[in-house]
Amino acid sequence: MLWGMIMSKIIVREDEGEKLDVELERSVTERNKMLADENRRILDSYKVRAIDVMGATGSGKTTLILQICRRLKDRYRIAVIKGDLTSSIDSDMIMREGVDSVQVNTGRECHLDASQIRRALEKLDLSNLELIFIENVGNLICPAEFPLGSHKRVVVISVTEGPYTVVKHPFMFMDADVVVVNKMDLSEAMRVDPDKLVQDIRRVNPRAHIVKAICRDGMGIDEVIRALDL
Amino acid sequence: MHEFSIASQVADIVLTEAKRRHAKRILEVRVRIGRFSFVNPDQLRFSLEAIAEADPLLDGTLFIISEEEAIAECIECGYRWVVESRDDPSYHYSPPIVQCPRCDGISKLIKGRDCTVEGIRIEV
Repeated sequence: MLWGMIMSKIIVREDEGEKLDVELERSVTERNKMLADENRRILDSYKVRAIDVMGATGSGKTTLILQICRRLKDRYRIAVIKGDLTSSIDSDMIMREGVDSVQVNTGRECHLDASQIRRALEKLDLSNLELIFIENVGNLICPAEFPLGSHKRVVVISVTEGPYTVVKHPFMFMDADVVVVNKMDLSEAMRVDPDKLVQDIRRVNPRAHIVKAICRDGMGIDEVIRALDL
Repeated sequence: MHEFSIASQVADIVLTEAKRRHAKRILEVRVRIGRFSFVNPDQLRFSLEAIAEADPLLDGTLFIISEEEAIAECIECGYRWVVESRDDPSYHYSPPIVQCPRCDGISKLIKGRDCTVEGIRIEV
């Protein structure tokens, strides 16, 4: 027996053709959350604040953003990231106000996700910006499940959606910082009680700042700006 | 479509793990859909099978899709309970307001909003 004999490394491998059960327990939305956190870090490193704007199609999201941009564009350098399945209608409107806009066409996806926002951020000159509005696809369901990395969330509902919007979409409202109840001038015609909507919102989210507005006419816009600490 | 994006994530997770273990084939994929994740199981299956056609590792893979119940926890009194959905399954669920049955307080869902890849069965 030779001392100092070198032992060969023994590795146990599976046999060819062997079947293996692998437990993963991996969340599907985990990757999006990770990317959202990365987006947030990037924004913070450039000291840019990002604000989500969500709501059903036609609720008034773009009008709200336009009105806010008109009032703030001399105070902050602003850009808008706009998500839609197709078209650049809203982006064009925003650019006509002299505000930079990046259009993200999601194709058939019904919501924006963090990886799309990351690509949009790469198209913007973040060192020359202070505020970004991210207008999500018109949808009160899916966007709630896909954080994008922004600092605040605004949800816009309008009385024209009827009296049950909040009750039917609680998750969207649970995570909102500001909720805008829009098209107040149409509440009588719609026979919708805006105070009941406010009550519904408070029940699901007691901390949200609720603003009654007529975005098209500019009513309530200043209150939304204050509620966003801008 | 929402289900396609979930299916893409599932495929990503599963293929990465299978390649890491030098699998020759993925025999089974087990996915759990949260009751309030708004994912339609038939549409998810359809999307998974469409993606499977494009990758030889997923040729013939059996997708096993199960539902995960939703559990809510009251922020105010800490009570936990299983949340039932009274609606029939349709493309997008409308969940009930999540209010604590014990104290009427606001609660949050701690389980049931997500989709989870439970595991895979592979041939090495």
